[in-house]
Amino acid sequence: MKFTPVPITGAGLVTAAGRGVEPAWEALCAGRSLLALDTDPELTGFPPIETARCARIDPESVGADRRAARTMGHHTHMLLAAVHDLVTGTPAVSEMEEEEIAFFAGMDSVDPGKDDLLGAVRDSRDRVDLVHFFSEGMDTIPPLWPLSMVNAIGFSQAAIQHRWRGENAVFSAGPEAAARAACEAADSIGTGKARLALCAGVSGVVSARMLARAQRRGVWPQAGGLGEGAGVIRIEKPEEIDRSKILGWLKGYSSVRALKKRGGLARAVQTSAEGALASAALTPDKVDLLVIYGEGDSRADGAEAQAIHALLGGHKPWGLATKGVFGHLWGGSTVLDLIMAMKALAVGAPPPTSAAEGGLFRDAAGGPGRDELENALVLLQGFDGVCAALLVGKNA
Amino acid sequence: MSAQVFITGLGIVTSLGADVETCWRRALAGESGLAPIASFDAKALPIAGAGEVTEESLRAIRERLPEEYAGEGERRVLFALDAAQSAMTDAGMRPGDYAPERAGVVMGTGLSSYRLEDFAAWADPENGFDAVRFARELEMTQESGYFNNPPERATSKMAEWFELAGPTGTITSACAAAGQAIGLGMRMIRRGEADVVLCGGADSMIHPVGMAIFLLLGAASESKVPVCRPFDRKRTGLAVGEGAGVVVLESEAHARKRGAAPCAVLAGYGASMDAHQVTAPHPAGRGAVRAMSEALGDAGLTPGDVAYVNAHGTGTKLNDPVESRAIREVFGARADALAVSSSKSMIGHLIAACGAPEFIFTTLSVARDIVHPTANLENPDPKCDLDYVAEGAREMPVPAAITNSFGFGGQNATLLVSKAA
Repeated sequence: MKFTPVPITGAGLVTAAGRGVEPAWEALCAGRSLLALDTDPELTGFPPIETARCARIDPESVGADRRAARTMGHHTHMLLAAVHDLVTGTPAVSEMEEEEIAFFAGMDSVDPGKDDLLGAVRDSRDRVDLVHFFSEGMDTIPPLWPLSMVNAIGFSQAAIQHRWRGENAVFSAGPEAAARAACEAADSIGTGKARLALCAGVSGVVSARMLARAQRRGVWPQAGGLGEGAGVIRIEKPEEIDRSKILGWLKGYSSVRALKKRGGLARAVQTSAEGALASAALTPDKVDLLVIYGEGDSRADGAEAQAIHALLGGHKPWGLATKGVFGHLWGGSTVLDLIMAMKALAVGAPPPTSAAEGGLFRDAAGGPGRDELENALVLLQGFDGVCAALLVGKNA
Repeated sequence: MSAQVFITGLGIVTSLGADVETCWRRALAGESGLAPIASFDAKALPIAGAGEVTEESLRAIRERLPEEYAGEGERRVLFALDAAQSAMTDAGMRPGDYAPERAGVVMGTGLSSYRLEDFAAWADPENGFDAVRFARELEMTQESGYFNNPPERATSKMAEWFELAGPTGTITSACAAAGQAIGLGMRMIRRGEADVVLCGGADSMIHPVGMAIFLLLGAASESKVPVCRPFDRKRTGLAVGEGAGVVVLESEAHARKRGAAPCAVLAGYGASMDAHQVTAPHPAGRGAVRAMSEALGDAGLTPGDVAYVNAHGTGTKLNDPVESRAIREVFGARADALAVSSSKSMIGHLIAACGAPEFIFTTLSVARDIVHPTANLENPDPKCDLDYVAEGAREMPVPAAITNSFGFGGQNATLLVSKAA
């Protein structure tokens, strides 16, 4: 696959650590888990769960107009806040440039609120009475409720607010969705279809319905603590930017799906990693920092460890893992990991992490020198066996 | 210029039928697939009907799917799998004919199916939703509902069945989703990420909450008969449809190597965002103009090369004049020579999937030099001033054609199909 390296020139992030990259980085460096036992009464029927939720955001404080805000929930607010923080302080785009701004996102699904539609079905406990629903019940649903249920509408709100009119797509719903969004944003720049591209990732919002969805999908509770958050990165044409603003370079990408007949999950993790390295014309020994997926599921983690052994052989990079601190952000996790990887490359010192365990990685104690970290490989696993990898470097 | 991307297989499920030839024959005849809703008790629904896949088609689909997929709970997943099987058969392709890691899948789909039962069963008249009891009774959630059918389910099942281990994507960009999915499939092949991509869209909003959504948004036709009248002065809104379209896209080299003949070439793709309002298109069709212009540029063609436009043509007050205006702006003087028609006049609006069957009809128009009519256009709207093929199917040379998909929220996609050399 052809992959043209593209510079990442900005990042916005909302996590349980707060707004911005620095609070998240500090939490990671401090090894301070933001996960805590969730005592929300709504969740008490589920197995005990640790969550790292984001503080609620006033949509008007991040530029949403009052009317539009009525259609939005926390899912959209997190996206708008990450975008707001990214664009604050950057020059406004001119009319001519609006259609040259591409926007891609990987977004988790939006779950209805626990009491949504209750008015419409209040008298229908054992058997839904559709005559009642269509003649009276339906009128209890707020007219704009449908808009709040569509993740693409939240995406559109961000585009409307910032007049991003170029090519776009919303991918759903797991970590692979945001990785695909990153690939497409990079491709937009690399092929000249856009001069500026945004890639966002947004988690779901912790609720009984989200846990129900995850449980029925078979990805929770084995995946451990859940987090909320959103991240966005800005990619620009390299020839048009001030090089001092470059946070890192997106240099490679690959995505494959695990098939039982073809070696299952471990093989797929390895293949995606090899593909990302190949697309960046790098060999495994050039990986200085490995951002593991490490979701806490023993099967997935075991497959990842097996793949890393096979990929790296005797080479031991530094390791980094984020989920122990922020929880699993699903659709938001990929952009979070990318941003943390770039930060580690820039600082030259990976934070202490559970990824150091298992003998796969170098011991972070002491840390490398500032210029030692050049390339980071970010691994991720999506739903139904999709595996992807992104390669980010300090230089093109 | 990149090597060409061939369209080598087509599969479709709509209210007109569950195979390409039946759907196409009926579309050429201007037949409507819109009818009173049969899948649930809709007598109190203030919508006369929808483009529902018939029980007969659904039964046939379940019979021909392998046992492990025939029991899928959600209609859109069944439609996707059946259309995928048809497309693979049409392409003469089976697992083993491609390297799995060089074969991908991208599907456009929509809002999950909220079932009223998933709210009603745990509704407590005194205390609202009983989340605790709900958590303990998850196995009672509707098999066809959203808890059990995440958006990527059709994508994953297709990958599993046909051993597609390469790149993957599930796009949920509202009504532009399937168009974008096919466009992304093309790009995956162009940039060397895959040799073969199965792509398209599948959706079904024909369930009580789905239909209520369109009423709440004021988008659905409340006509007393199930009819959709795009570009007509008396149009009353969209008619909801359901179904799927799946195509096999293949690199030219891969197709030639296995001796596969293309139906046509997917030559261009353009996407844009109105960034105007969530509930209304840009009044000047700015995003639509951009998407069509980008598709033309991507294909290296000029307006004079295109003979047919398969319009988004929803039959809503807002869409049709804006789209007509946008077509005129992109095509200039050529606009008066274009044939423009709306598949939705016959199959309804398949929402997130709409771009897929419409892409298939567009491909057939190019491959067979004939375009289907816009049905029910009896009172031309002066604000819609193009040739909408109202009189019936038209045989005409179609060297190239475009198909538009414009999403609620402002996302737009245009695909350009041209004849295979």
